[in-house]
Amino acid sequence: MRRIIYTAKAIIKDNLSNKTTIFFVIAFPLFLAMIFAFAFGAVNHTVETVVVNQQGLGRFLNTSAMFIGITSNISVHSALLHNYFVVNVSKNDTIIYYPSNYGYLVPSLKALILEYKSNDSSMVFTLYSGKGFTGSEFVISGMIGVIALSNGVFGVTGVSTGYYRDKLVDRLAASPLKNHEWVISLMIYELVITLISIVPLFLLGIALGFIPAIGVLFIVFLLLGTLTFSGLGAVIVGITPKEKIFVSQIAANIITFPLIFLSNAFFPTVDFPGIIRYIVEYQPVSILNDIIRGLIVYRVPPSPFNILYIFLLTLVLVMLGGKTLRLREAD
Amino acid sequence: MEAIKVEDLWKYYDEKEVLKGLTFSVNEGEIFSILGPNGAGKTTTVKILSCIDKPTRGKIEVLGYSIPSQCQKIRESVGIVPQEFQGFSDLSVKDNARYFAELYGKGNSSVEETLSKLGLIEYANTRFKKLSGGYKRRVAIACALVGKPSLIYLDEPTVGLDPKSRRDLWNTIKELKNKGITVLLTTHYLDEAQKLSDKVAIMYNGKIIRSSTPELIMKEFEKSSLEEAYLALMESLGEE
Ligand SMILES: Nc1ncnc2c1ncn2[C@@H]1O[C@H](COP(=O)(O)OP(=O)(O)OP(=O)(O)O)[C@@H](O)[C@H]1O
Ligand SMILES: [Mg+2]
Repeated sequence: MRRIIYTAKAIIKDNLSNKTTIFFVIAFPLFLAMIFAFAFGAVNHTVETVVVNQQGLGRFLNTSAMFIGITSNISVHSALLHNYFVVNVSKNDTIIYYPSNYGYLVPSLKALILEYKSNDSSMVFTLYSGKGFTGSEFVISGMIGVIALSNGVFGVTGVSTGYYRDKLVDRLAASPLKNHEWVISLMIYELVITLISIVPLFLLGIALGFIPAIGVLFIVFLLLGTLTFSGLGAVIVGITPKEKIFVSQIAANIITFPLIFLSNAFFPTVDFPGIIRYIVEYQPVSILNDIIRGLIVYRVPPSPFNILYIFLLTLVLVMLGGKTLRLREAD
Repeated sequence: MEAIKVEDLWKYYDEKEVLKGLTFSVNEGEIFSILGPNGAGKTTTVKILSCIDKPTRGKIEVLGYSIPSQCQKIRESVGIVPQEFQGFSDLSVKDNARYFAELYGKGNSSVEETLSKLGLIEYANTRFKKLSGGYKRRVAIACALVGKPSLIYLDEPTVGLDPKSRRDLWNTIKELKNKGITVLLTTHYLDEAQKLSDKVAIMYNGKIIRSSTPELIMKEFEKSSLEEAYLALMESLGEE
């Protein structure tokens, strides 16, 4: 325990004294968040998605250049959370559910539905609104998963690759530091930098009008997510031959970037085409973001499936990481 | 008492035989030097004795503990100055030394004293990466000493040191001996080996070809310095 504390402290101090690390811990997430927060605003406010119960209406809305009509069995609640409209048309009454910050589009939608129904004057509209999200809420909360991923993976691969290259690992291998103490120290470092990374990110969020609901559960899942991905980083370094240790950095990039961009971090899952959508929906960054978004944006507790998913994945990756990342050959 | 006892130590890297049946022992309190040309296997021997590398076979005891079964005990009590030492590059000299003191459970009461003995006090707050090569070596030695070892391995500790610093380090090594610490040293400087060592082992191609006192080796080749005797020995083996 004593050795873990001192080692973690040394790793933290060593890396946080380094300007490059500071850039990646603070500036990089902010930079990504800003780009996507603005991109999100630019993209999503031109055409809104409407979930309809009739394919004909969907096709008709697609010709409007204002809405995209899709049919889907997504629940009304989660559709609204994704900022989708939901329209249920029956013979002569229509229910419209709309995200609360999009009320100004309801008259246009009504007009289009009436046009589709050949101006049936007996049509009765019922309107409900529910909480949607703003671009900055979506992107800032999505960035949390990205931070857990990039700090976890790049933290472990970056730090340990550097220490291998510097032969510091050899020196530590000759010391009483035990294997698991080394791995745990690295992971504590990841947890600390993650906590540091989210501070400027939330400040940016607040500046953009998003007040995150930060609670204990949020911190728990943030740390679990970081542990998961530092386990992944440990596995990557662990299975890389030590004489070609730089390969672990390349592998980390190859694994991390698809996980960032093929996730729900910056774009809603439904925006991805066909089969990719399923990959996006069930990959770990998206699951973590579902939990995080639920907690800090919508204030809803995580689903049992998501909780189990993250717990199991953390357990598996941390164990594999601890097994593969060795401080020394002779043990 | 023997601080190190090695019997028939073999080491293969894949197919390559690097150590071919080493047998030697180092008595407690003595300075023992391993000499030999580049690639002879000196560092490999030190790494195995440090429990970083596994022996392929052989019976090894360090401070009465066997390798590999009691490696953790060995790591706790041996101070190591590896041939290529690197500290935490963005930590200061003092923080590096403190870390190693704490890692070995020795608290950091001796840190200041060790730094000043090695002439590092004025660099105490300098980041490790900003030091010159010679000062990095000194930090390596400081990081070994703060663990208060009873046995210390120094793999080419004087490489890159200027003449004055080299002499200072010789004095430090002699002081270690006076305190009863056993020293295992590798070096290419024969004058250094002659001045410091109680015993030397000369390695060649994975084997120990002489293990004796410097005086006896000089006598064998009828030379007045260990360096000349060593060169004569290498010449007899067909080495330049
Ligand atoms: N990890 C390794 N894999 C394969 N061969 C190795 C490895 N480490 C060392 N060797 C080989 O073992 C031999 C002995 O190397 P070692 O470093 O022990 O020599 P040395 O006596 O310390 O040399 P020097 O005086 O140059 O420091 C060399 O031929 C080296 O190439
Ligand atoms: Mg060597």
